[in-house]
Amino acid sequence: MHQFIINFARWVQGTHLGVGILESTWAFPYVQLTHFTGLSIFIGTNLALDLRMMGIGNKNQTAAQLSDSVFAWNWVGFVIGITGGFMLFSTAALTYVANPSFDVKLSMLIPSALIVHIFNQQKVRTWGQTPETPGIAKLAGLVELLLWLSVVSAAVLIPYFAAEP
Amino acid sequence: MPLRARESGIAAWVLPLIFAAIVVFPSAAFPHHGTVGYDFTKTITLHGTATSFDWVNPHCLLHMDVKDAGSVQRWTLEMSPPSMLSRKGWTKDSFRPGDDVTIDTHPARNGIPIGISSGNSYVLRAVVNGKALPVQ
Repeated sequence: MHQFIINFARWVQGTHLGVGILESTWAFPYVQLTHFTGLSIFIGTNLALDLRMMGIGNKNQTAAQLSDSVFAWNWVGFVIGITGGFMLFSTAALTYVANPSFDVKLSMLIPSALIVHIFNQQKVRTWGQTPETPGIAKLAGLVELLLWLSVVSAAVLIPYFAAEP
Repeated sequence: MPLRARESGIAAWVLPLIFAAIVVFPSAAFPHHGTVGYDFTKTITLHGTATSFDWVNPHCLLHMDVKDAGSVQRWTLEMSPPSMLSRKGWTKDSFRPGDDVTIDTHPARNGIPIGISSGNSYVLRAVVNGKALPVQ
């Protein structure tokens, strides 16, 4: 499995996509923009729902209604974020897979956060029908919020664990 | 239900939360790693031989061998990204392996052979085989 990941990373960073973005004079900031825009929409809508589940926010709208109204934006943001993220990854894939912060983010934090997120998105239909959410919803919202903050922290730390200056 | 009274609790909750996030994650403001590792009050001049020039994002890197009292030290100098350096007239061939290079840099605070030689608002002097690269 480990060798497969290394081989995949080597292949990705040798593709026209990876080399093109890496050496481009103008494309790189737009690729960053794609990743940051997508993840802002995705994590922004996640945190809005987490906070509402925790009982923080506008009580005129139930948590279930809020979840419904941001649902499409939520997953559109996810797809944009993943697309931009993969393009950034392709510029230096071997460096990224050897980076402990990237490894923790991709192999542990994002899968855990995604599982809790999908679970919460399902459960909020029953937990979030009243203005005040039950205690279990508050706990679930807090867990997801902390997981996404951990994902962001790991992402921010990636350059600080990089082997290059 | 006195909804207005309950909503007044939002500001009391969310504002400290935002403030805490800014304090805990100050580096989230930067797209890449910061430059606090470099000592901008110092500018040193390196003279040596270019070994490679990485014309890459998020920043270009010049690798060079610097002879110092008999021993050779491999330096790595961080620079602006290709988008900014190309506007100054630099290219991926501005440094080629074997080129004689004299270049100014702000060295790393911790003494390792790494420096930064250009950023948003400055390009330090670089002379390749006797010819200065454009800085304006």
